[in-house]
Amino acid sequence: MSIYEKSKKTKYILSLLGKKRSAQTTITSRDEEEVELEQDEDEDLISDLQYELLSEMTTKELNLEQELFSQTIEAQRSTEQEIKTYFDKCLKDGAVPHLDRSKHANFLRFSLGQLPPAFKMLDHSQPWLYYWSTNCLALLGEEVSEDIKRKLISKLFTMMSSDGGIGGGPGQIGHVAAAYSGVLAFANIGTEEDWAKIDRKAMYQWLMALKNEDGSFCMHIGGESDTRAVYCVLTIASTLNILTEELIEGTAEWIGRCQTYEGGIGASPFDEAHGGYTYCAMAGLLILGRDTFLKHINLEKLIHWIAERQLPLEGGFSGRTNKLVDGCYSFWIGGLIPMFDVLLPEGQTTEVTSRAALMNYLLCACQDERMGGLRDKPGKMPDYYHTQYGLLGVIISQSKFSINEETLKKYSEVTPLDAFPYAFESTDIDSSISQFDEVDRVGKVNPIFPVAEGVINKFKDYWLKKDGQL
Amino acid sequence: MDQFDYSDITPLPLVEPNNPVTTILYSDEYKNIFGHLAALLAAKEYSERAYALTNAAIEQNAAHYTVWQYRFKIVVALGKDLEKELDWLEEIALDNVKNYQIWNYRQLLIKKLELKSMKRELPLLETMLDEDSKNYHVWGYRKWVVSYCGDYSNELAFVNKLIKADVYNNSAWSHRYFAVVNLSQISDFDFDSEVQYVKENINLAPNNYSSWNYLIGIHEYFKKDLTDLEDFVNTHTEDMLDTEVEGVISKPGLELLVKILTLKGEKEKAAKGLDLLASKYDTIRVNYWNYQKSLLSKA
Ligand SMILES: [Zn+2]
Repeated sequence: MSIYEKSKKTKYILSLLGKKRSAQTTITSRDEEEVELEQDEDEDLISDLQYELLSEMTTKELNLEQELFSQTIEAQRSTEQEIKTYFDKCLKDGAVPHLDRSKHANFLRFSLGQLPPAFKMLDHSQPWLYYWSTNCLALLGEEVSEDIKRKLISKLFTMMSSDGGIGGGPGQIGHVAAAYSGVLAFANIGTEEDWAKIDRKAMYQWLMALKNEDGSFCMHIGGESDTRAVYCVLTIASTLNILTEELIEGTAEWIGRCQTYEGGIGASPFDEAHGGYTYCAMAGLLILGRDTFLKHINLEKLIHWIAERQLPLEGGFSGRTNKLVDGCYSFWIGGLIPMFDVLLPEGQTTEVTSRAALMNYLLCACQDERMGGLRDKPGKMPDYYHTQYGLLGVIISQSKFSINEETLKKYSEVTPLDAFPYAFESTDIDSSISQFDEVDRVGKVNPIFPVAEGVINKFKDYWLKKDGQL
Repeated sequence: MDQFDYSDITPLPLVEPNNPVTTILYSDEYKNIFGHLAALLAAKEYSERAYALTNAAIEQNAAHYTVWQYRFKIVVALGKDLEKELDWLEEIALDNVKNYQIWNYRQLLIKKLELKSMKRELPLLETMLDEDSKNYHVWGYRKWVVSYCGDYSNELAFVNKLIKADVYNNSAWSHRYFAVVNLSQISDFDFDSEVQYVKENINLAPNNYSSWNYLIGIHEYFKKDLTDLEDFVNTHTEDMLDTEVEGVISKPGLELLVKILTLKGEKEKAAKGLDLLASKYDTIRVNYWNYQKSLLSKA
């Protein structure tokens, strides 16, 4: 029996014992020593399995023809070796490290202050920083003071561009990725008063100006067009309640043309299938609903490509065939997996990858031990981008998604074009399936608009009410 | 910034005054360049001094999309020599391999010039892909410029070379698909010799998903029967479904064999293949293979 099957069995055994994974559920009527003992046993059972999975993983180098020396093989082998040393260390210590919440929170808080000159490389993407830091801190259950929130919102307003969009900083032209992260930051930390000041009419005109004849969109006036731009535009338009038939005409068809012979989706038609663009395309289509998605995407091919992204030794995902593992794909790829829960017909729901193996990668190999934050892979510096998408990968590994049909019905009546993403509901999965410790559980997210569950519905509802639709 | 006089310009602040939250401590030089640039942009000034400033700005931060957009407007307004601009851009490209503003800017220039020739693009793209053979943006640009010029004649020889250097280079295989699909629409296309080429490459590296995915991909595109591949696949899977095979087998080959058996209605054998994948050759995807098995029984 493989370790993946065993984890299911453990869950069963635990349920027979009437135990839950979390330590705090133990009843306190017995004396403390006994309680402690029981917690220990409980934990040992899990870590044995984790141990076994981890040691199994360390033997699973990718099957590549070793005699055919090439760049791909060289890079793959050295990455495997490096990650193996991290796993071996965990095996030696007898434990998978916990999510180091306080270190990650410190790392994130650092971004709220003054940043050294080298951060000029983010000069043109400043709203991303606001979104990542406030989003991750919220998901970790960390407070951000009102004062900081006010100041961030005030800064966001200085980035409103004269073209109607949101730019990467003051005086910059509008950019849909800056606007995407800006809007999500508004949703996260803004008040209704702030929201009322957003010029949606100008925003809509800007989005329409970015539209190409073939249904795709440009990143900025004169900028490149790709599936990322489409997802950003659909997110901005939907969450601000300015999505119209006119805006999305031909868009779903265009996304469909970006699916490749491999099953994944590229930046534009004929481009190589790529994790980041696949997320954008898939989430973008799901904003337009389940039927639209299924009409334009070959689902079985997509599922196969996604399943194939998980690397057997590393446990994390690669973004393309024969490319290396990278922590950010824990969300770009990992975030797609639970979506199949809501796309496949009832009874066919499936977990196409191993959540437990992904958790091992993120916890053992992606946490920066020194300054906190998460990284692409060992040997790389942590950054805010990989911290956010690694953390989201952790959450995805801990959640199962479904569509609340009643919520869907409610939204379909008032906003029929884009009701679907607002009906997502997430439930905690049993920690024994992902083999994580309950203390490492992080908050819940909406998988289409990656902010804490509920945030985006509140934002959308605000506009629906304002527009007299609700 | 010494070349021109900017003394009449009041640089715009890059940060909101008295708001220290999430604030980049720009160097004075950076503040100076970008502050002036923002002021000139806001005044819609398209001048030599603005042009010179974009040089300095790109040197500081080549990913600053606003600068590129501004520069293009200046170049057009001043009627600059666009060929020279392409020369300059080549140097920048070689210094900023991962940057993608460059490729969008190059598109704008080529379109403006209506330059329908690959001649000057080929050596640049070759050098760039030599540096980083899976660079997504460079490959994307290559596809764009090939389509724009309608010249697919160099592509197969080029990807052959890259595949020879690294048979696992999936970007090269993807580009091959793009080239083959388009070539087949403008000239006779020899499907059989293409299949032969892929088979030879699979024989070199039987566990390479890039080549197997491509093989299936062209079969689907050209509406050919996958079952034609049964004998070839069998050479990579031996008779593993009948006997216990030890050692390395081709996992993608086994997957294709399952597909072929399913198409032929040999469900039992297909199920056996899926069991082998789930329990032996690809245990991390046990759930996926079990899911495939559930589809098989419903089919
Ligand atoms: Zn990454």
